Amino acid sequence: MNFSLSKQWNDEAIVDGILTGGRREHEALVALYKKFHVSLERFIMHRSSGRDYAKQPEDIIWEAIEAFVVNVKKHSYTQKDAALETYLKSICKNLWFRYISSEASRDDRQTKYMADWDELDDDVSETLIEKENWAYYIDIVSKAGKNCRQILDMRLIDGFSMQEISKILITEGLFESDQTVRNTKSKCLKKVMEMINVNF
Amino acid sequence: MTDLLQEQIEDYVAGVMPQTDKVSFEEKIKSDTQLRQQVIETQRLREILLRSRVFRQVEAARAEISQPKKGRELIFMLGGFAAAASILLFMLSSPVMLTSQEFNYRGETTISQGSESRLNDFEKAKAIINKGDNPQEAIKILEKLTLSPEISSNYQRNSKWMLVIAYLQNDKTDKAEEAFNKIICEGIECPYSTWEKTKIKWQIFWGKN
Repeated sequence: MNFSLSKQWNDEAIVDGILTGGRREHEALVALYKKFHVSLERFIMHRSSGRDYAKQPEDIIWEAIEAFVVNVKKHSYTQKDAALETYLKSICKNLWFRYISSEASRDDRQTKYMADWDELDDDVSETLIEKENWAYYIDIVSKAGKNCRQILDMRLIDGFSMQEISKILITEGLFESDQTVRNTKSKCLKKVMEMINVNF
Repeated sequence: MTDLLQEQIEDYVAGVMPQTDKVSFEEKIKSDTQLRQQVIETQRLREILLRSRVFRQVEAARAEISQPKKGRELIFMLGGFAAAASILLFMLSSPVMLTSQEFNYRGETTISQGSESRLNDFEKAKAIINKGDNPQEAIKILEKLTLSPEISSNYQRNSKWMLVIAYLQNDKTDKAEEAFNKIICEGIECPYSTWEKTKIKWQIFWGKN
């Protein structure tokens, strides 16, 4: 089972799956978790002080996967950087230390974790600091309507032109005309931008 | 801002602007502060949308990973209960076998003809019940024995117990229940174990419903 999983989903296939998006991305994420969660969990547990934390290694692993996917999508992770497992471990280590250091007292942090903290990869560390700030804005976008989000996703992430977007959404029966799609996009963009800029 | 400019900003941020247009557009960004601000804000929105999409994808994968696990646990638990219940029901429904018991004939070294005859009847009924193919015959013998004032209380209890089993073998549940309720005993004097008692009660209950 593990043999076939690692054979089918090597590092390259996982990265490709994430970049493909949709169902393939979903499968890649499930495979990624199945392939590495045991070693990542062991890695995190090995670095925990035996205390009972509200956040479990499982949560850290999923946060690391999220950070990794963002980096892949932004093309800031390339396989030349490091093997996927090593890269994920690096993110996990950062997340875990960040979490336990916020829980533990300053003295505790200094004596137990500072040695490791100093060794952190700067690039990964930056990614994680950003993550906490983005959560608030993700929440704002998630409150925009489904159609609104879909149009903006298609336009700014997938890079579809407005004509292509209209064609798809009219075929799906979500909109009646090209003009209504354009009007919805304009209103939606204005509203979301306002909400973000007020808070940024 | 014109629609055309807005479209250009979006194409640039989404990374779909043709290379030739991109060079001149970047020149424009450098010289136009307002345009630069618009591009920065749109890039920021793209980043948020991207992270939002990743967040949803990761949550969906996490849900898929954890859901089947829960489902599997439930299936294992229900399966375990079902298997245990099946085994218990099978054991409760299997026929009761009579365990051989040694009787003390009140210290007598010789047995009277009457006692010997009753003893033979008792052993005969026991053999029939254990064979399980002619309960009617065993019932006939045991009904007589249980009413005999000549036999000891110990023999009576054992005869009644055998009669209960014979009735059940003959599908006479009501009579089995009646006979069972007539067995008065305590502790080790009872002709049956707790497990055998439970089995008989279950079989009476099952036969009646």
